[in-house]
Amino acid sequence: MYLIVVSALTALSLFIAPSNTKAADLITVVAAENFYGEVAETIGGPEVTVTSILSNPNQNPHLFEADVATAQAVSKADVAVYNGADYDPWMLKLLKASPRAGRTEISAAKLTGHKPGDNPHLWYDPKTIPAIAKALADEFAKRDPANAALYRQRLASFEASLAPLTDMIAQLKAAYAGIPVTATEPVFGYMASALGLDMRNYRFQVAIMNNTEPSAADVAAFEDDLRDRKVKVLFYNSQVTDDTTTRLLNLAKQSGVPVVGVTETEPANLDYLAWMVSQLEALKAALGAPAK
Amino acid sequence: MLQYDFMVNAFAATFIVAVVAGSIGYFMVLRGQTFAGHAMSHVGFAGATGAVLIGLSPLTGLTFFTLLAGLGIGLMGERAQSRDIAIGIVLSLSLGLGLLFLHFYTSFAGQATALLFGNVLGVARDTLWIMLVMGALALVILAVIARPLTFASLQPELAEAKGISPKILGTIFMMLVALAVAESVQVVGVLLVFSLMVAPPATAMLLARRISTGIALAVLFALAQAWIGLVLAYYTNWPTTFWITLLGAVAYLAANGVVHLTQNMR
Repeated sequence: MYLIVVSALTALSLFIAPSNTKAADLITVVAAENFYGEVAETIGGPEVTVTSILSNPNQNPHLFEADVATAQAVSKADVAVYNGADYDPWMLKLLKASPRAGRTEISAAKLTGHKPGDNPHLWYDPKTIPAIAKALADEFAKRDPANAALYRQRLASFEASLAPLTDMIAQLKAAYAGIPVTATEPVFGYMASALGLDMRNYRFQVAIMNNTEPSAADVAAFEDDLRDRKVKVLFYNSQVTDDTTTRLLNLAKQSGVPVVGVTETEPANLDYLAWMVSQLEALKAALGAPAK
Repeated sequence: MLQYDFMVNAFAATFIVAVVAGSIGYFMVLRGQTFAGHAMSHVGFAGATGAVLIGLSPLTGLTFFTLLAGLGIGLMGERAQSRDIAIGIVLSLSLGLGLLFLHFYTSFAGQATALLFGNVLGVARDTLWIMLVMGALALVILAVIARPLTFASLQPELAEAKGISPKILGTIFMMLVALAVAESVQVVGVLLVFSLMVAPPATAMLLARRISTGIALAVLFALAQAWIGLVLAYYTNWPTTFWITLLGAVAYLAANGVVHLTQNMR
């Protein structure tokens, strides 16, 4: 049996030349999610090559199974960036399966002090992306000291480019802090706390995220919030809809509660900044004139 | 291909799983208990979520719960009909319990659910050692009970008359299946364990009448299925699990064809 396999392998390898012809001088980065990969591309520029694993906004990140190309990308990387907090446990497994001396692992959860069990949608926290950018700039500068100034400069301009988002958050917070809102899933959670919004029905959201049933009391509380217009906006994950969430959307429409769709992963045609700003614009439009 | 650690680990992990699943699966198919194997690979979910809830490691919960389910299924029924009912009840109860545990666990349950989706390409070196020890243990227990188990599986009345209790033996065997499933599921995933436990033994049973030859063939088929599947996955970049399940189905159908042809020629 062993002989058969070995000879089959040898035969196959004659036909397919090994494809590990990577440019040796470039820093290779593998990012579990494309919004982190994008930051690595911005900071690293032409000096790094970046592979993003989850880059199709239509695949469900919770049900991802790694293929061989993914495992190869991970095993060859100098720097690995991932979310952590059990959002991408497959990434940890792939890293452990392919040990590589001198590889740096950057986890968004570790950088921002989150642990497994916390809401994993960390990239909605306005502090996360700048923290990743800084960690990457430091790492690139350490690996490639000749270009250290270049990486710092790119970091500075990236931080400056996020100003419109920071301004908008401050503006919305000043106008709407304390307003009660709700959501079908905790995707927007960290951004909602950054805006100072009063996010209701968290237990319901966790149940939907964990693919389990929300309890009758949780559903009832949610429906009351919508029917009696106790909340000013309903956020929903436009990538994950089922009967329960569709029913709540209809209820919101009937009672005149504005609905804002948010996506868990970055849409293909937008970058991080444009993605976040467009969702905040939608929120602003839904909330209308400040109540104060 | 073998310059990658993850591929070397994948070949080693599937080797261990194939040997254990092939031999235990042979008795499972012989005794008509494929549904039990299927159920066993799913009850671990409740154990994993329950363990997370009370702060234990998900793996501990998974192993404990699967063993408990094996015990329950073994004790509830020995006859085929009542056995399927027992399995159905244990399976649905444990999935229900899993839902209950998730209800009380009001934070992100990623670490519990991640356990059920093992990945062949993500097996760490130290996990291999644990698998090797557990696999060897399962094989030793199987070797000890193999002879009386065969007897009790094929002629339960006669075995009982000779003082072998089919129920106790069946329960030990079910717990053995549980042990093998629990250890493999988190490494290679639910679907892969089940596929290696059913198709290769069924194929072997078509081709060999003697039990010892059958077991040897089952292990050989499981290993060939897993390794060729890995090689195909490497060169096509399609999911490993797909190739392994496809090879299992193809081998079974081909063996059926061979049996039909040889029967017609006679």
